[in-house]
Amino acid sequence: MSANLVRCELCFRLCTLAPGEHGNCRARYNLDGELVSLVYGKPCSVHVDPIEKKPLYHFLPGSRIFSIATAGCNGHCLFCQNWEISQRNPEEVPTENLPPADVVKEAVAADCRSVAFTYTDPSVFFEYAYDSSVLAKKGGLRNVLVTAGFLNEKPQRELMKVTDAATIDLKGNEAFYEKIVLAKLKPVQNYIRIAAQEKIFIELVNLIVPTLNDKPAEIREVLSWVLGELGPDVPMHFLRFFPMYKLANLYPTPAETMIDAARMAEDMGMHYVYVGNLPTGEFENTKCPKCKDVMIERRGYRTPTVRLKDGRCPKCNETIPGVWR
Amino acid sequence: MTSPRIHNLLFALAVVACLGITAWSVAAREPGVFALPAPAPLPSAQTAPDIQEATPAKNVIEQQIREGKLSRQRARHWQRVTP
Repeated sequence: MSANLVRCELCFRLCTLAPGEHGNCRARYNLDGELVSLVYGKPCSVHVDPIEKKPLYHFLPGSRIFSIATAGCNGHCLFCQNWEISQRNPEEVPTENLPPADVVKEAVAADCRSVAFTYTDPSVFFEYAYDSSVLAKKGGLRNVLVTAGFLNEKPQRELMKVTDAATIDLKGNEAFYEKIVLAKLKPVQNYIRIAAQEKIFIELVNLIVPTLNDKPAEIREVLSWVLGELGPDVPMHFLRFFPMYKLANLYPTPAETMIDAARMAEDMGMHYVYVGNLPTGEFENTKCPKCKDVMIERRGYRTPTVRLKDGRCPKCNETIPGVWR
Repeated sequence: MTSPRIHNLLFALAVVACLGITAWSVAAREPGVFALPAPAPLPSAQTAPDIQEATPAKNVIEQQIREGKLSRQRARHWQRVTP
């Protein structure tokens, strides 16, 4: 066994690396016995997005969010929509030089109210996300993680001290995680629990993949866990799958499947259920769980109408969970 | 001898009958022709990328670090392992 071994303790994979080896995520590397991040300050994707694209529907609606990602990921979902950067080594992908201070400067210049660490998983560019978040907070910006939840407890609690909101993937049951995500479900469930303990505003995302996690019983299993753990007020997004990466052989999720999943979630008691990547009208809007008044209307990523009054339904005064200013 | 009008009518009926028989025989040979195609079998897990095989030569990493394309920022949350 060689000397100069290192063990990364960022995520459940706990990669042990000899000099010259990348971690499973590809973003971390053993350089002569020291573990380094190859991607600190070197994003491969930098965009200004509408915040609804994350998707975040109950957090600063209608605002712009400065979104960055580096190459690499510690998930290997067969359906990855961003596989061209997530499943690549950083040395194979064009990058730009954007240190944390410049992240904040550019976000402010682009009239963004928040910064998102997204597209790939921010866990793998932990140091960059953390340092940028610290500066963003000082600059008056909010911080958002868009994540699959593969981060161990200690680094997670550290990062969440400078995070305001998280969109967390809850992709399916244990079998789906093992076979299709090539990961484990339990670390993700722990991540969600800890995020709730740290009082991060959470929205959950479930991508429905035809033939793989679209059975009503499987969706019900996921929703039962969410209701038991977080309650009915966490916004739940069902996203439509499109053929990509290693699942280009499948067809897009039928619209009926998406609507059925959303209706099931409502019937089970979830208060804020949305469907993404598919215009539905009904499941794009936010309605009051008490009086059913439509308070927020959306069209795709646009939010033309927000009728809340101090975070409450304008009709019946019910408190609507979210960060509205 | 049939009139031209009846002749044309019989001819039209024959054409419709031929088209109908053709459509029926195609549908009968391929049941579910209008249904969604069944998905192809899933690729096996072995087709997922092998990280170690994808690792390039160390000098590529070090060169890109020197050029500023890659970072060599010390990571957090790790430890040295004694063999």
